[in-house]
Amino acid sequence: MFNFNKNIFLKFAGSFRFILFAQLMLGLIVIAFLNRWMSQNMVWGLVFDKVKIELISKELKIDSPIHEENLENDYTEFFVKEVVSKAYKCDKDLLSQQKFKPQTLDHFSSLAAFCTALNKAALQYKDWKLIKLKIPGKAFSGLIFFGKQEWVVVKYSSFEGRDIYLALPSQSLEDYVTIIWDIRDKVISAILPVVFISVVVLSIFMSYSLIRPLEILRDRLITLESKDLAYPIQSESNFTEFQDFVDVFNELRERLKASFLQASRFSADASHELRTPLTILRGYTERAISDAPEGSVQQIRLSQMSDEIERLIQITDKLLLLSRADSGTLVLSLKQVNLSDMLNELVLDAGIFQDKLRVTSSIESSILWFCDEQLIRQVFNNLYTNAINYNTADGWLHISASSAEAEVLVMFSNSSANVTPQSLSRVFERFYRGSESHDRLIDGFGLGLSLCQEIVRLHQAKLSIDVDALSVVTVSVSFSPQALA
Amino acid sequence: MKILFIEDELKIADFVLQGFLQAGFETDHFTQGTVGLKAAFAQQYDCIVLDLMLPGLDGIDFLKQIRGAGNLTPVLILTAKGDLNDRLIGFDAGADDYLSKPFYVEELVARVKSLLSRNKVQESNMLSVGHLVLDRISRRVQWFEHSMVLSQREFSLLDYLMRTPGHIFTRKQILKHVWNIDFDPQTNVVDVCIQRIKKKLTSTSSQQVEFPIEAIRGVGYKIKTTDV
Repeated sequence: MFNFNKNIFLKFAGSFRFILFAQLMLGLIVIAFLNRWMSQNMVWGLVFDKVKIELISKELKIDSPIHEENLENDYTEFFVKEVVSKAYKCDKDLLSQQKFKPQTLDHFSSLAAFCTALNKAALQYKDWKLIKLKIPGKAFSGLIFFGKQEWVVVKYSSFEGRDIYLALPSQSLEDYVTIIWDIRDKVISAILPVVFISVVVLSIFMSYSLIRPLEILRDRLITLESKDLAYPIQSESNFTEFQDFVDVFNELRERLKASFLQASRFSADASHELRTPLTILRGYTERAISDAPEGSVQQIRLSQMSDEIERLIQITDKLLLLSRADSGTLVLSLKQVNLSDMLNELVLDAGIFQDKLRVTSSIESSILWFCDEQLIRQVFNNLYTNAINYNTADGWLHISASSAEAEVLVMFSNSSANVTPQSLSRVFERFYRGSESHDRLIDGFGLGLSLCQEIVRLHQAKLSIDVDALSVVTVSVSFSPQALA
Repeated sequence: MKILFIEDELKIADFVLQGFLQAGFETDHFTQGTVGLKAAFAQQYDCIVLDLMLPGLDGIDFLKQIRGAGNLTPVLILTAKGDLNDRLIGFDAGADDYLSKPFYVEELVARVKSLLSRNKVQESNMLSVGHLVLDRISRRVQWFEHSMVLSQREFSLLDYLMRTPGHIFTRKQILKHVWNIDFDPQTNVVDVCIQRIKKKLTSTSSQQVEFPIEAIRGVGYKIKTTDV
């Protein structure tokens, strides 16, 4: 039970559908994480860029010369009046007032002092604590502490030829960034189910459009019979790759058809060609038999020869029948046949022929089959002959026929000596005989079961052969009686 | 009785011609369809025995041409092709009977005889050899005043022997044909069956005529052809 499930799982895990789904899923997870990581890194830069754009858009007048002596004042004024207030202003536009409540604007004097410190720090980098975040494109960035407030300072190295320092309270920035991250995470978790469903749907759709033509092709190949070889297989897909595939297959089919026809025609031609010399041979032999003195040794020998000629004729007949079945040109002459009568006849005969053989039967009465009587008779005769030929010296044979739910099952069971499952696997091969050495003591041409199988197949029935541990061989034929009606 | 026989295989023709000669038929044999066709138009035959695979003019075309010209001579076709389809094509073209190769000469002779005597309208359901008459529909056999219905096997056996009178059948051939088996039975079922038929028909008979089934020692059986 466990193995069974495991096999199904392994089969599914190895399927194109699953692999496609897994790959799409993996890709999406990678993209999601990459997105999160990138945004985490870039959000700082984006915030500062935003501020910078604000500054430019306000057309800051910062082109007036700054002198060394009044640098502190000028810069302080500029910084306080323009930069910091603009920075706050732009942030105010973005975020709620509460979050960005300027803690410094109310204390101008202390802020001015802060700015002085800032500019001093700008001139002497050593007082700055480098901040951990890397902000791309920024020549300098850092954290400074003023009072209890932590400030993020960024230097725009070339803003109209001058260095500009921007300081923003880091707490408010972090709040701001945290909000953005929250939004991002919420968005991701909100769209995750949608993404998951889309991946499933997408993988189903993609695998369907890819696998479906292959499956149709596979089904066509499974049901392909020799007589269908003449018809090309159509591609069920518009993809050029599949068209190539189908073309290649059709080429193969053409070659197969040619060699198949050749093989089938060969045995048909051979058996036709054999007929004329056989007719002559038989004609002369029969003549010689009737010319020979009655009861003479000569006549007996000739009659033995005649039996062998008869056997050759039967072989050619079977070859012809097989080649017709192979090429799909065997025409069935169908009619309603009482199978029970046919089988009972065999049981009766078996009692007459083989007095040592215990023959039993359980045949339901009036089983009818819409079939080719002659061919089906040949099948059952063959099975019956095999059951006798491959039996033990004082063995048994049981013939049964039963019908249930529109299906009829006919079984020939018999005792046998040394029949193994291995030897059974080859019984449908042409000219194969049960025993390892071609045992001439047993009549039969090695075509019997192969022919039976073809006839049964033509009748849309099923022939199977089994042997159990006690060497009991069971051949069963199952069919639905009106399959061909 | 004059027969037109068209067959390109000389060795087949050889023993067929011998068989026809023994049966007292006068036979014109040709190996080519075209030559045979000329002969068929030039002369009135009682029966035409025609091989289907001929060089030049094909047997079916031959048949169509003579039937097209209003020639109603009974035609028996011989061919190596024996399947249903070929047979139907043959009958469609106007053949009266069909024998597939390989065949027994005696059977061919018997078929030709039955074609010659056959009333066109009536199918040949009756098979007769001398005084022995077999009804192939009712499976009833008649031997002088005795008449009885045979079992399937008995009928099949008698039918097989009577269709080719004079021919010696081996036990194996009879077994294969009547019982459809390819193995040696441990019992002498053929002999038993023949004895049974013989006994049923001759037990109370006052006839002095010998029953026509003859056993050939070490070989098999045949139906004697007695000219009545």
